[in-house]
Amino acid sequence: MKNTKNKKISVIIPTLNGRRGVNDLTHQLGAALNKEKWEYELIYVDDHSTDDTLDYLNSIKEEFPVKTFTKQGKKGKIYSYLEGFQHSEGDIIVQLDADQLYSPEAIPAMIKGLDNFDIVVANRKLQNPSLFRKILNNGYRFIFGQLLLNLNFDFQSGLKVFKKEMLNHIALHTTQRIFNAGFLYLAKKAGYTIGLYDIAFFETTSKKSRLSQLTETFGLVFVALKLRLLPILPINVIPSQYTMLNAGIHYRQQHFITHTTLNRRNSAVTVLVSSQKLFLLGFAAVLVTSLILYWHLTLIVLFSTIVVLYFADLLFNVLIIFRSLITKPEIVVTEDEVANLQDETLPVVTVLCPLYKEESVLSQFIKAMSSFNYPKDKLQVLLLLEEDDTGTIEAAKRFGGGQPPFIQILIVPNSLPKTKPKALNYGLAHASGELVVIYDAEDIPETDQLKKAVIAFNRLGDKVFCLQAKLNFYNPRQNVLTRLFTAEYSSWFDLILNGLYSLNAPIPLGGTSNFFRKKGIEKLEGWDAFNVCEDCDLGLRLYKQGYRTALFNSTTYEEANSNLNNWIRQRSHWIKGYIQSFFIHLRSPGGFKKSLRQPNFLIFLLVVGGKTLSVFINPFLWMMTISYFVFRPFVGHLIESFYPAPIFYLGLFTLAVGNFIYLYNYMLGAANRGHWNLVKLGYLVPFYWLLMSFAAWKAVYQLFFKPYYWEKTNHGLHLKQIKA
Amino acid sequence: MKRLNSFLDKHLIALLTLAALGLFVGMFIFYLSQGTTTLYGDSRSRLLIARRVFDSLTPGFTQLGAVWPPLPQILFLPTVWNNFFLYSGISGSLVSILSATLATYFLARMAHEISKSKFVATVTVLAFVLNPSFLYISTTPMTEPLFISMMIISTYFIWRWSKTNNIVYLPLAGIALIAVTLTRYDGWFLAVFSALIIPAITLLKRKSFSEIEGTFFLFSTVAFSGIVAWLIYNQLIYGNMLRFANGEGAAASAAIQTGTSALTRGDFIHSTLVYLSAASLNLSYVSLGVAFIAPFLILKTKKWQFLIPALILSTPILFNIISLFLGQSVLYTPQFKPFYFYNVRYGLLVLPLAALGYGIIADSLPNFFSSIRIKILIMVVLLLQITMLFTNKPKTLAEAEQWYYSPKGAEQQKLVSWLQTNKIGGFTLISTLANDTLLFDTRMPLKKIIYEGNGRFWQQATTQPQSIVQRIIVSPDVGDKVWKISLSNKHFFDGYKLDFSGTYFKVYDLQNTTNSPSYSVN
Repeated sequence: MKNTKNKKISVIIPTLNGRRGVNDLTHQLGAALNKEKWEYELIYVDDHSTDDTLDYLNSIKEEFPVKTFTKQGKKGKIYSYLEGFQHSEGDIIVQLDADQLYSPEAIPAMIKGLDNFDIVVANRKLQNPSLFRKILNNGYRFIFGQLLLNLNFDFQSGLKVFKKEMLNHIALHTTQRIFNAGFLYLAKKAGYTIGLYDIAFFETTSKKSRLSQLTETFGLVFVALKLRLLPILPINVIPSQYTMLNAGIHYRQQHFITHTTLNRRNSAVTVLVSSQKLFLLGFAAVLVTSLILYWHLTLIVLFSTIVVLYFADLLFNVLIIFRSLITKPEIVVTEDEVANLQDETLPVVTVLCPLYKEESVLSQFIKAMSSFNYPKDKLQVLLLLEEDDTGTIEAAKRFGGGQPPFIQILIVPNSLPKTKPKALNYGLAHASGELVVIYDAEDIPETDQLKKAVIAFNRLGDKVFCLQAKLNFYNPRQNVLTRLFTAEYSSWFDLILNGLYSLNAPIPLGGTSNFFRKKGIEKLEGWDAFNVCEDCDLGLRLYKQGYRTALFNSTTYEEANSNLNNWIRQRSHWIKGYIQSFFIHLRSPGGFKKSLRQPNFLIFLLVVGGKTLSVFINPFLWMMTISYFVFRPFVGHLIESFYPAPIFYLGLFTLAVGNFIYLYNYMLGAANRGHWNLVKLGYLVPFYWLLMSFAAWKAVYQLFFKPYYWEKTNHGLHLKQIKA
Repeated sequence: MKRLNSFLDKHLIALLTLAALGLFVGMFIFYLSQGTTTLYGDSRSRLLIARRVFDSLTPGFTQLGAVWPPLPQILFLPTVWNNFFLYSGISGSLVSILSATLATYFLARMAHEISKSKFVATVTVLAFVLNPSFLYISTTPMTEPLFISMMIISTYFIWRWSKTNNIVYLPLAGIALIAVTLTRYDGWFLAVFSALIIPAITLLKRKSFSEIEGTFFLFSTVAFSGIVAWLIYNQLIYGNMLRFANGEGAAASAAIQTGTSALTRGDFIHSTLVYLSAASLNLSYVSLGVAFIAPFLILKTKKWQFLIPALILSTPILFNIISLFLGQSVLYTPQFKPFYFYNVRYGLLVLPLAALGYGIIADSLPNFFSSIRIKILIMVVLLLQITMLFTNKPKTLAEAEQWYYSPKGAEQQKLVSWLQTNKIGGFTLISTLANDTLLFDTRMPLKKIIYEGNGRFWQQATTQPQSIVQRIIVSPDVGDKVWKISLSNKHFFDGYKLDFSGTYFKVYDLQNTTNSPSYSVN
């Protein structure tokens, strides 16, 4: 017994007029458990016995750690168990029928089984069964074991041992027929492991008639069917309230280690919760029905809605760009301030760098970390390497000789999901810094970035516990794709995010160069390991909890994706993450502070939802526009008929001015960043948008079929080109 | 005194702007009471063009047509649907008043920010707003106030960019230039000139080639988008990208066809003199002189901050002279043959330069004048302008009246009375390119009018008018389109009776549909 060592055991036994039985049972239990020298309690929940069961049990409290409770609630064994669970103080629950059909001697072995399983069930092996019993049992096993619940063992067993924490996660059914099976079925579905402990069992003469046994079986079928139709929700598994390390989620028969206690409702473990699924299905049903019944009117409403939304987005876009350029809201830390900073006043900073198959850029990263003008004794750089990534681990070890001591290798244990945020959570649990910052493998931050962040944090209040440095690229000139990508990044990080910041609006973070106060990020329970855009999600989550993100005047240079396939992989990954984040935060829209002056929920809808949605819709609208002009004699009237006059003109305006402004944003971004030679490439942006739309549809496919799949972006392509 | 100074430091621009707004509104009320706000034929045409977007046999934005750039008409749309706003001209006057106010605001800001002097800003504003020609035209639905306003705004933002290097001012200047280019074709020249001046400034700042190129694209992409949109609109709607230049009603082609541009075409000196004469009529010789002296004064005083605005604001002089020289526009002044007013208002476009010139002079005054300079200069400017205001009728008003009271104008008024007496229930065929003012004056229901912009109705009415049209109005003297079509179709007027016959207008009514007597103007 390893994991169960030093844990208390609670044996829950319901009783009803079983004076004689409890005597033997208590002694047998005591003998079995005392042998192992475990701490335990025997909880008897008496269902208002009319004999002296309770008196007897009270009389042996000196001899055995017996606790007695008289049932408060409804009659029945199930309610006795439920009350017993509530009274239990142990970490391990032994659920035992008091009818002496199960020998307590099996219990120690079953408890030890919890080292390997989450539940251990006494699996009755019937000795010399009658033909009827045999048929019944086999029928049972087939119907429930094979067809309905996939529990191919004695799921109605009256003895099982499990970890008490499971009671926090598994919904218990109070129906007599389904109590045991339901618990085991849901536990299995959630990903808990079930061990079996075979015990010999002799057929007893049942008090029930064969007819009633058959009836009960059929009743059980219906209950099982009902059980199958219930949604299976993920279950948070929290090892300790003091650490997030090894915390995880049980879901879909898998145990995911996420190293965060983040509630499943705030996680992308489920893309859509039931209410969202219902809403979307309802919406789709209404849409399809209206299309069938009133297709023309439906399309008019649909196109009008799209036009109004696009127009709103256009106005908002203009607002944030101009605010960004005119108010210049980012925190500016001057070189003098950096120079005047005393080293002894600096806090320890932990750099988290999740690496996966990044051996090609490792030396570049180590060089970048070594270049910080931050005292190295106050710097902890954690290279978060995946256990199965032997290539990078070997490379990191090879660098070990020349590696500065402030750089540490931390192996993230192999588990699902295999994502960057999981590695970050693991790293966070090992971080010793007061501030925590994330860098990607290919990052080259400005050398004074850490000091600037410290000054910025000191200048800002406690409400700001996240700082985002600006991101840009060091290889914009590699090819047309990198040029356009650079223009886009310049626009996003330098203009749009600054514009959002100027409005005090929620900011979707970039995936790297985010600085956090460690206490703050712990309070937020780290990153969502299932969200492939954990940065966007975290930015929104922290905002909803009343905290703020600020931007400051420092840049981290990254590698612009120079390969088309690689770019599409990366982009679909981001879009998938944005969709995940959108649906997560739609679940609790009230979290966004609402007021007329600060319509943050609307901003969230526009920035996260609108921008994502538009990349799906755009290709269709472009096709329609082109068709309108090219095939005007054939389709002109039809298309016009979808747009009532005011909507038509608003749509035309949005089409012309909107596309122009979105395109111009890239030019402004490039110019603002000083990439003057990229300004003219703004004219190629529509082609770039087409690529985005392609990636978006790929993201949708992945969202359905590989929701947690972290599409790896290959880095170091610029180095290959340099070598070539 | 200190308190007043502090108050003025904070609120001078707002005070000047508010005062100017008050003045513009006052002048508007005055001219409205005189019934002169819609004297210009063009203003009435533009109002009707805007109205037809809502009110026509075939309503829609294509009614904006392709003869004039569309922005003024678009700005009339919020109010022009209402008869009162339309026929009083307030739809357009509002745009002009707001434009003039905006122009004052940005001119004041520019002068103040460059000179850091309240005095200079005040002098500049006074010189600008006290111009009688400008005051009059700012009460009318004409395009000059909007054009001047957007020109000043674009100039201000280009200057701001040159001073601060903040790129946000480039698109802002570009947006103002979109408005300029979609208001008057003169604006296209201004856009080109500005697009050249941007890289020139970058070059003078010794920036890299890529920055010169980048700033050029950043600015031009916005500044020329109005022009590009207009070209695309012409192509998509009319299948002719340059319809505004070579199609029906185009000013340049009309001028060439009618030979009215021949007087200046190819003669640079004559073109220059004609334009300067027009400018002097609007500004006075003193103010025109100031406009010319100002740039040289910058060279002398090395107040380089004024140079960029002065250069940009001088482009209307260049454009108009070149345009006259190329025969692309027509401008007559009483000083030159044929000795009457025609488009003399073009000269008003020099006003912002002249106003800035006053500011430059005020800024350049030697310090020893400091104690009395305010009084002297303000008095000089005020006296000059007020003298003009009271001694002469504003030339823009004189020009508008000239046509209105011309023989054709007089006949048109008679026709208006006749049409109002002899109303019909059916459709009237008329070429609006030549007769918009008539339609405006008669207030005929526009849904009962068939004109060039009515597509299939126009086709039917000009092929077989009897099938649809009850009345045909033509003005043979300008060779309107209906008249031209009728000349090529000898059965065109079959079944119609000439009910009104004048020197300039003829009205044909389908027989047996009206009992009104025939009318003849001798």
